Amino acid sequence: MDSSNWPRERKEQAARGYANRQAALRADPAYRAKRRKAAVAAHLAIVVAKSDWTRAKVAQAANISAAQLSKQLSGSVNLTLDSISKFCDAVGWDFDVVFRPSGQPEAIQPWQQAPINRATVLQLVRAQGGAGVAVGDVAGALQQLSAASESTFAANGTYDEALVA
Amino acid sequence: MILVEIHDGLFHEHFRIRPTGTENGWRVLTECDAQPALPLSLEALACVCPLLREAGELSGQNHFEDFDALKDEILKRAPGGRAWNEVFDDKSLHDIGEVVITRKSGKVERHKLFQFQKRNTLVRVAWAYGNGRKTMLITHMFVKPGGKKTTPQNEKDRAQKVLQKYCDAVDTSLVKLIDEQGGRDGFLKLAP
Repeated sequence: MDSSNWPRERKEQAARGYANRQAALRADPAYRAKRRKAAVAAHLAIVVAKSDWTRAKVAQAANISAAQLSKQLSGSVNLTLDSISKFCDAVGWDFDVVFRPSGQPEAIQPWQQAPINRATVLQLVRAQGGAGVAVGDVAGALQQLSAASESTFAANGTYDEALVA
Repeated sequence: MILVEIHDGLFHEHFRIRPTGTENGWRVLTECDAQPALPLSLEALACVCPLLREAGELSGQNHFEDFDALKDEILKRAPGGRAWNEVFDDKSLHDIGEVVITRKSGKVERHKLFQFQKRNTLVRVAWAYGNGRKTMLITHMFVKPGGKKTTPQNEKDRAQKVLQKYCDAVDTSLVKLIDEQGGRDGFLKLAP
């Protein structure tokens, strides 16, 4: 189905179809539940991968078979809090359940946080008045950055690139 | 060639064009055949993005739901930045062969093609590595004909065509993200 030669009207119709069907899906409580389940499984798959343990070793530590672990991380079965706890304990992670009003941006996972790098610190030092800035001032500036970027995120659902670059 | 970076925000309740929190993760790109019309919305983007508009014509609600779920799974796992085979099991991620690409310098390269699948559904997303750090080019999506074990040759040919176009555009510096994602600068930032 190569759509590159479709007439404009058909492209517009397909695009409208996409947006409408997505909106309908997202309004369906059953599908929303499926998405949440898949999101938890995806995050858990990343945690397991980040542990640098093989899946077989994680399965052994969690006292389940490798096939069961694979199934659980695929998002195709219901993950219980008990099984999430087992996996987390096995790989040395922990978890919280974070609630938010519908439509608000999702909580940021540790692997999604922008690192504080040299450029950020230099920018902070400049913002605080240039050379001769004490460590305490930089720490204060870092706190300001964090607060500023969080408030931008809360307002716009996105971080200000100038703050997190 | 105009590309768009596909990320969670595009499909969020409140459309967000700029990705967030992808510093160490995979950047997922796909082709656009024009700049999206303003004001930007998912619909405006889907109109110029073959991957999305073709999904908009998938027959039946199930296929569309499968595509949506598969896309979500990819985008949820992308920010982790891990090798894809570490976060997808081998039932969901397949090597479907190689394609040959000729660079502008005359050098012939062989690239592996992969596809993602969602459980036993027939909707597939084909992809190849793009140039750059953790950059993945999704060439297209397709519905695999029922009862066939292998990926149809025409789908592999299409993936080859898109990848060749991408490499040609990179070699001639004629590649950029849509303006709202930084245009040429945006592309250079993620795939120097």
